[in-house]
Parts: sequence; C-alpha cells; structure tokens
Amino acid sequence: MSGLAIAVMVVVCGIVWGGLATLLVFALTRDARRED
Amino acid sequence: MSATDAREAFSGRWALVLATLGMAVGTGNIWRFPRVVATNDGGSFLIAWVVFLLAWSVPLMIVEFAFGKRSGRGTIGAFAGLAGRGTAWMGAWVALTATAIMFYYAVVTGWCLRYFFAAATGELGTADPAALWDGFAGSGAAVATQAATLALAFAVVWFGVRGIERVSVIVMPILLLLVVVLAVRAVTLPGAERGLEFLFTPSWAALGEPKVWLEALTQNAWDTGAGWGLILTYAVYMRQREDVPLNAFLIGFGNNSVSLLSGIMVLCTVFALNPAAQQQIVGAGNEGLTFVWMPQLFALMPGGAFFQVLFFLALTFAALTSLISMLELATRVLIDFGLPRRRALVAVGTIGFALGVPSALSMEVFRNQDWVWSLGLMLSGLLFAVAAIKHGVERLRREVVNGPGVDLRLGRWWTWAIAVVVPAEAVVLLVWWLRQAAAGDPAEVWAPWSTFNVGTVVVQWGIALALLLAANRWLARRSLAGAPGEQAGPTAAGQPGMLP
Repeated sequence: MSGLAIAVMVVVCGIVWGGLATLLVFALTRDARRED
Repeated sequence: MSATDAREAFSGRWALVLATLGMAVGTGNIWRFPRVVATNDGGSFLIAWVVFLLAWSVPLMIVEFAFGKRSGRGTIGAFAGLAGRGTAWMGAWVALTATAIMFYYAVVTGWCLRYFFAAATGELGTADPAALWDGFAGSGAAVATQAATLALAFAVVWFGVRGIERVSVIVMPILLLLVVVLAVRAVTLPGAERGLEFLFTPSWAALGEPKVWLEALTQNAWDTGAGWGLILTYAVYMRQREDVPLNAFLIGFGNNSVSLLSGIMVLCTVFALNPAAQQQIVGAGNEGLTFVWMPQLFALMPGGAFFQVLFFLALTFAALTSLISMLELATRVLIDFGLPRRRALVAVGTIGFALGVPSALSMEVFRNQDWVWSLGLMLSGLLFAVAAIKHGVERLRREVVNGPGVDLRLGRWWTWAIAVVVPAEAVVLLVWWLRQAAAGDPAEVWAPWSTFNVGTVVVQWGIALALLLAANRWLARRSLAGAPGEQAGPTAAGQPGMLP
C-alpha cells in the first residue's frame, strides 16, 4: 500500500471507529455516573 | 389507545441505540456502500462521506430524536404539533415515503432470506448464481419470501416496543459480530491489500469533482436513516430523561462504522479473489454484486461455503431490522389516528404486502419505485429542516436537544446546520438527481411510464402531494386527537412527562 493510502486509512478509520469508540466510552461513563 | 401502549418505552439508552442502529444498518450499508465507494474513486469518496456524516446525517438525526421525544407522536402528529397544523402534510409525506419504501423493501428482505437459505442448504454452492437469480427475481417465489419477511417483521411489531427491543438486543450484536468476522476474513485473504489500497487511495482531482461529493451526500442520506421519520418513530418511546445528541452521534458513527467494515469486506474479497473482474463486479448493481458475484467469489475462498452463510445471514438481519422500523412507523401513525396497535398493524401489513407484490413480480416496477421514493427521502430531509425552522431551531436546541437528560450539550453549529446547510444540501441533491435522470433518458424526460426519469417522479409525487395537501386539515385533526401525553408527550404542566 502507498503511504497516501495508509494515511487516508488512518484518518478515515480513526475518525469513524475512533469516534465511535470515544462516544461509547463517554456514554458508558455517563451511565455509570448516573447510577451512582 | 390501550393502556399497554400508554406504557410503551425502551428500557434504556442501549435498547434505544441498538433498535435505532438496527433501523439504520440495512442493505444500503452492506451492498450499496462498497459499490458506490468503488465507483467514486475510493479514498476521495470516503473523505466527502465523513464530512456529510456531520453535515447531513447527525444534524437530521438530532431533529428526529427531538421531534419524537417532544411530541410523543408519529411523523404526522409530530409535525402538526410542533411546527403547526398547516405542516401535517409534511409529516404525512415523510410517512408516505418511508411506507412506500417499506412496500418494496420487504421484497429486498425476502431476497436476502432466500439466499441465506440457499447458502445454508448448500444450494448456492452447486447452482449457477446468474441462473438462480434470473429464475428467482420477479417470480412467485419472490412473493413468497416477501410474505415471509413481512410476517417476521409483523410478529415483532405485534408486541410493540417490547418486541422491537427484544429482537434488537439479540440480533444487532450478532449482526455486528458477523460483519467484523467477515471483514477480518476478507482482510486476511492473500492479495487483500490491493482492495485496501483501492478503497483508501484518494485522487486530488476527484476531490474537486461535484459528483463524488454528491454521491457521498446521497449515501449518507440513504443509508443512515436520517430524515426518513424512522428515528422520530423510535424516539416516541424514549424515556423523557434520555439524552438526544449523544445517542444521535452514537447511531451515526455506529452506522458508518458498519459501512466502512462492509466496504473493506467486499472490496478486499473482490480484489483478493478476482481482481481482473473488479470493474465488472462493482458495476453490476446492488443485486448483481450481491446475488450473482458474491456467491462466485465465496466459491473461490477457502471456507467460502461457511462464510457465505454468515454473509447472507448478516444481510438478512440488517434488512429485517430496518423493515421492522418501517412497519412500526406506519403503525405508529395509525395509532395516533386512534386505532389500537394490533388493528393498525394488520392494516399496515395487509396493505404493505399487497402494494409490494408488483415490485416482487417485476424488476422494472421495483427499480421505478426505488428511484421515485428514494428521491422522496431528500424531500423528507428538507421537510424536517423546514419543520424545525418553523418550530424554531434554537428553541428546539435549548428546550429539547439540550433539555432533560442531556449528556452531550450541543452548540449553535447545529442550529446553522439545520437552518442553512441541510436545506441547501437537500435542494442541490434533488436538482442533481433529477438532472441525472433527465440526462440518462433525454428522449422521454417527462414520460410518466419510464422507469428512471423525471416524469415518473413528477406524476407520482404530484398525486401524493395533491392528496396530502387536500387532506391536511383532516390529517392534523386526526393525528392530534388523542391526549398529548399518551406516550411521552407533555404533562399537564406543559413539560415533557416522565415515562414509567
């Protein structure tokens, strides 16, 4: 794979999957805090 | 409305998110996204697609959540109640478009179910895929599978939100696991890196092409479920102290995560197993790619028979959970009109089956309906923005979006997105698609009987809009007739009430 393709893969997957992971952690944290 | 309906609500955030994700993840993610990304310059398309997730899908999802949560009614009642009685026809348009899609989406779900059984029984491994598809599509067997999938969705919606929740919390984790397993299998095939390179390599020239951006916007409009009215329908059953923005972001990013995995799964499989035919494969259309080419590719894959079963099971689950939400949308509208849930569902299921049969029996009818009503979704998105503007976007943000239960406070960017960006995008999309149709069939631009042209859209939309506008007053009266707190609407004090 070219460096450009790897860079785009990292950016796109980072935004989409990284964004989802961050949102999931945030939601779980909020839920846990609410239960406390 | 029965006392049972009055108590209906999702049990919590994760039930709501899984059900809504089930609505959003459909065949558009698994068979349309990989094909569209491959025909629109891979990496360039992906950049535009990420932009429009935030500039179309998520803002509209937030409007839908806010309307459903605030009004406690389906699309017609929500529009009439929040944007004024004069907008009942807009809510009815949203309901009509999603329901018209439901008619032929049951046919699509039936195709997936048929191929799942063909894969599971080994029939797909021995048959010629092209001959199998030609013999099945448009036949009486397609009507039978359409009826079977409608019956499955009917059985779920029969039990209301509890049924939808129970199915979603089981099916969605399995679906997500299946997509991950299939993507990992595809990436580990020898030569799969060629698929990844194709998928992620951008072209700077293509980034300047309006077509790439408009296709990316279209993909977001069609496969995230934003602006369809389906999220609004599920939001009717939110608890009043449930967050809006965070859940909308979760669903938008979750949906597009599945699309990205599907793109990796399909393109790595294609490039690893038959790179010479990649142009032909991605150019074969949704059905050609899925039902003719994928079985041929799985036949070349070590363990392909097993992974083929998983692929068609994932496709069936994705389609079925979306079909369930469409059935619920139409049922919810009739419940607002005063029908008990089960009587409303029988009416929706019966009419849905009858009006879907022509699409099951004729691919021409299917393609025409897919063209006319998929385009209708862009008008639906525009009408959501218009209704939010009439209600007051900033007021909606302050009172509902950032209201009780908020986890992620939304800034003013959302107000601008709904008031300016989304309407502009919807108008550009509508004009562009109609121009595409006109250019594709210049001899018969206005002929009402053509499968894919402007005339068929004008005639079918014209009839629908004329009827809905004529019935506006009746629609507003009927949809607002019930007490406004039957699901989750305002309490006597005028504030949103807590659901039990």
